[in-house]
Amino acid sequence: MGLEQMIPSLLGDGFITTQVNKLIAWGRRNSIWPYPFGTACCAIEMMATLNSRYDLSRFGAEVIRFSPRQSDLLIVSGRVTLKMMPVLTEIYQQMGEPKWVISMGACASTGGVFNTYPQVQGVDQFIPVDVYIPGCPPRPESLIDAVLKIQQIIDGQAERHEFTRPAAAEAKA
Amino acid sequence: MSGQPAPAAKPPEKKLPPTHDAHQPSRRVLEENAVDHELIRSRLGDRVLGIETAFKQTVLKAAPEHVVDVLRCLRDDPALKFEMLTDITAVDNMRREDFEPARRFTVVYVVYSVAHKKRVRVEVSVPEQDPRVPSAAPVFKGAPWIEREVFDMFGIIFDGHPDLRRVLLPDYYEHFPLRKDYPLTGRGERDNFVRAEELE
Ligand code: SF4
Repeated sequence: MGLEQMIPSLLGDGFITTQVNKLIAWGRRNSIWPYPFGTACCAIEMMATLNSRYDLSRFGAEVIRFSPRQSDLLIVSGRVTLKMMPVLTEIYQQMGEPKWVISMGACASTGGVFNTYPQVQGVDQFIPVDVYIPGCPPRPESLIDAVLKIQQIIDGQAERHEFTRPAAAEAKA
Repeated sequence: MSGQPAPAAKPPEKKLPPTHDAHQPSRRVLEENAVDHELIRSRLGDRVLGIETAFKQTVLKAAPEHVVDVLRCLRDDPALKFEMLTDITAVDNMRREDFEPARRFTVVYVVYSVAHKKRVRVEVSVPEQDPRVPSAAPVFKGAPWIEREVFDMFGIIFDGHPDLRRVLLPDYYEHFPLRKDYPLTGRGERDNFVRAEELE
């Protein structure tokens, strides 16, 4: 059966049936606005991912915002020092719910090879992280995969009727 | 098991390329960097405590109270003309065999003469208690920035400095991380932030 034969039956009367949750999740999933927190070499790889060759806009996540208030995905790509950590926490807090965080690369996830006094050993100690990307630096395909994982998370949250982050809700309670 | 294994065949000897003339200038520069001791002695007199040439580089020793004078003379004397302050840094001698608390830190000034293509280092010993040297700001305009970094990392106080604050580390930092008694992974500063959820 050809798809074109189904279209009239689906759209003929101007109606589709779905759940509000799923519709919202569909919108959120396909229009992620990332905030690039690029502090080191991993950020170069993030830029490559956004460029035409890897083209993150195929997944709806190309609208990079430099204001945390306009974005819903924080990509921490690079080393975070003790002078930078309060800044990162503040940026995270300024993002409106719902929000998701990708920790890109060995440094953001664990401190990497920099086990020294100014180097935060993994940003997940201080902000919640949804997806970790291993690698030093991770390839653009890995970042694309992480964005797809975030999309799965958004879908899963919609199915479970979760619209705030569980950790945040617990902390408030 | 019969005797020794046969000796491995010798790899063919690598033929080294002939020494390029391109290498020569850099070697020559290193050699010419050393400065004539007598010249320095005649200009600076007994403000210099000692003078030696090691690894083709000339090192002067000076007392803290004379260092600004020495730098000014090195800069202004027409026969010396060390007009460019390359760097100021410090050394923590704590782990050396001949360590004594009265000479815990060495502040090192590196100055370069563009006219004569020469370089000297000026070394000043400062004690563990109250490590102080006068600021080189009156002689070199760029000195305050470098001195702030030395203060940030070693805690050496530069008297007369126009604005002695930390420059790399945050202002609330309490320690001087390049001192040898400071642990490499810090004293917990990097682990002591509040989690974002607790702030909400
Ligand atoms: S993980 Fe590697 S590439 Fe990424 S910021 Fe650290 S050192 Fe750089």
